[in-house]
Amino acid sequence: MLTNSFRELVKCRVREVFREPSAAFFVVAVPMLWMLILGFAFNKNGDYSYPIGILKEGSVFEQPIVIQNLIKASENDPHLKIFEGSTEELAHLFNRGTINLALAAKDGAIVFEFDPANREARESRLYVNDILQTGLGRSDFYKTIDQPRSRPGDRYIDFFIPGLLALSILTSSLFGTGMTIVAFRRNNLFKRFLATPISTYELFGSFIVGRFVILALEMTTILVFGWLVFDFHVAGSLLDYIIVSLVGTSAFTALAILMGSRLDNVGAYNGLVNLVTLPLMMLSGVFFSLTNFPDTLATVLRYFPLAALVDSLRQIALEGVSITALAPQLGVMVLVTVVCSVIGRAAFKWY
Amino acid sequence: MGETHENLLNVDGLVKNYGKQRAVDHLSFSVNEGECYALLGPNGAGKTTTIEILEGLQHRDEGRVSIFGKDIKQNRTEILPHIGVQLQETVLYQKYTVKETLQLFASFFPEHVDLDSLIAKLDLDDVKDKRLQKLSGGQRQRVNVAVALINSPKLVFLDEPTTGLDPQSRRNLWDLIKQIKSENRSILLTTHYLDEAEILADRIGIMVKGRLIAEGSAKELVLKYCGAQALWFHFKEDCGSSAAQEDLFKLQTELPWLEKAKMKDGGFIATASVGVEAIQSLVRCTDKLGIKLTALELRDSTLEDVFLELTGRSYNDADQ
Ligand SMILES: Nc1ncnc2c1ncn2[C@@H]1O[C@H](COP(=O)(O)OP(=O)(O)OP(=O)(O)O)[C@@H](O)[C@H]1O
Ligand SMILES: [Mg+2]
Repeated sequence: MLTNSFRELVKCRVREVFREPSAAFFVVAVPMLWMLILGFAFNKNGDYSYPIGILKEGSVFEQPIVIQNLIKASENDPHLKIFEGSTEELAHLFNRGTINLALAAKDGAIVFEFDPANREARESRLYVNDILQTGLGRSDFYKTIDQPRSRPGDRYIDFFIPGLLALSILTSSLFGTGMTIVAFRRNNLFKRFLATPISTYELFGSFIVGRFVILALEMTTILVFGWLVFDFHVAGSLLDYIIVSLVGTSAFTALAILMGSRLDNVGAYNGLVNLVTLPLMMLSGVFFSLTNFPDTLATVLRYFPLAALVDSLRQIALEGVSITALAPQLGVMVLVTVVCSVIGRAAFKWY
Repeated sequence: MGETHENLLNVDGLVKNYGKQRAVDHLSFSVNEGECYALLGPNGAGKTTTIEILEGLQHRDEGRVSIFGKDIKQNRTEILPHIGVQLQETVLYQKYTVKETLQLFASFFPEHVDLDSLIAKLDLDDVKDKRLQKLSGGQRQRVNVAVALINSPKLVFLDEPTTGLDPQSRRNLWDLIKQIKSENRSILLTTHYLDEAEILADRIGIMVKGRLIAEGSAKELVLKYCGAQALWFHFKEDCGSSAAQEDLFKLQTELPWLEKAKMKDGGFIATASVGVEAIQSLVRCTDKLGIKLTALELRDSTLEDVFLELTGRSYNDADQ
């Protein structure tokens, strides 16, 4: 397949990115931006807090002693953030998400008000309750020791970087390749190609292989930036990591070829990409683990192409799993590549 | 089809429908080795559709098309390396320079001409390292033509190759086409310039509403439909006025060759087999009838007149 025409076609794909500054920007700058935003938003080591509201009635001294204790404790506890206010003021703070727990003394008891479905609110409740009870002299029956642990690999950013790479592969393949296809069709360039002896497979192959070069750029950016800024490491083999990325790129480029196989309108293609990427992103564990879904659903979702890619990258990077153990995920991606290419070729409109 | 395919291209009974509309209607013609054949016709006549069917780009509803003695449908891979194609509307890859574009297309063919000399032939030397997006319309058109010639094709399809070219570039392209002919290669050309067809084409096919209504060399067409010369004359009033029409009617009763006189440029034009005799008889007759001629010219007939004769309309306002 390494014919002269194939080489020229691949060159064409690569030059396209480097000659379109905005395309290069999306490939390089956007992932870095994502990493910075999400890396710092979720990577506050030990920097967590429990924002709680206390119903204020009269002066401090009119509050029950437990609450006075709590307020006093908060002065030395960096994690405890207390907001005092009237019922209306607290309701307002709740609505804005400033507090996730409110407490008030009522008939000799403390009333905790919070949304039980909110995990952080439940944590706040446990934390505050502990302070209240120990402040009054409760002691634990059995000694426990908390040992802080922060090793690269356990942080949100470590979870996120493989997902980001997968996401970047998805969007840049769908936009990069698909837009080109749609524009070429609109410009009658495919029609012109059709009047030359090049084969369809050569043309499609050049789209995929051209993408590999862009992938190298994306991967380097994400890995080097992740390493420099967040000390990110791939626990498993880097070669495995690259191979999985190549397979993923093939799958999404083939998907782009299929999605762009009949359209000649950039706007319509854009809409189609959004239609496809949004659910893929939400349902593939890029941002949050699939374990948040019900078990049966999660099992199905794991075989979505993006999930398969995210999952394999994560297993290699975080757990050091070797590529041989990832056969099912790779199988899914290879299948997507083949099926999309074949249907895309059959459906392909040359003009 | 014999062993020697003297007809490089043979089209027989070609039909193409777009839904209910028939774009090509039982079209038959052929192009010989070393021949330049021009398809002439108003907008929408079906020229592009025809050419694209021949190039194997569009599907046909009926008819036979053979190139080098083979059907394009079944023998694409054999035929494509030896034909050259310039589409009426293509936007080549805009981020590529002229040279890179030619390199790209050259790589598609088993053999290709020397790129630098092709660039020189199309006067693209000065812009060869410029990206297509920075070229003028005429320069881009020349790149399209260059791409069509990259594989040194035996048969070249040029769909309005000179549209948008300045007079100098047009003339250069004419020279190039003549050179291709001299190398015993063939060209199928469409154009809206009648002078171009007259100069370049060995044979011309006039197409109207998907049909070929006349065919022959420019000279043959002129002789057949107009006579070599035509007499143009003008009365006091313009040809549309009733006075002028009446005068013409009076003359026609005396001079039967005026039967087919047509309105043109404010006067009338009629074919004259022997120009001088026609002038003499017209002058005699107008004198006799007391009709005043304000202008009288003997014109060499052109394709324009053929077109007028065949369609009843002048070429430039014959859009369908
Ligand atoms: N894709 C299409 N779908 C429907 N009708 C079409 C299509 N392409 C062309 N036609 C119609 O077929 C007829 C012939 O078009 P064609 O492009 O062959 O004309 P042409 O002789 O090349 O005209 P021009 O001189 O303007 O280039 C026109 O009436 C046109 O409207
Ligand atoms: Mg046309």
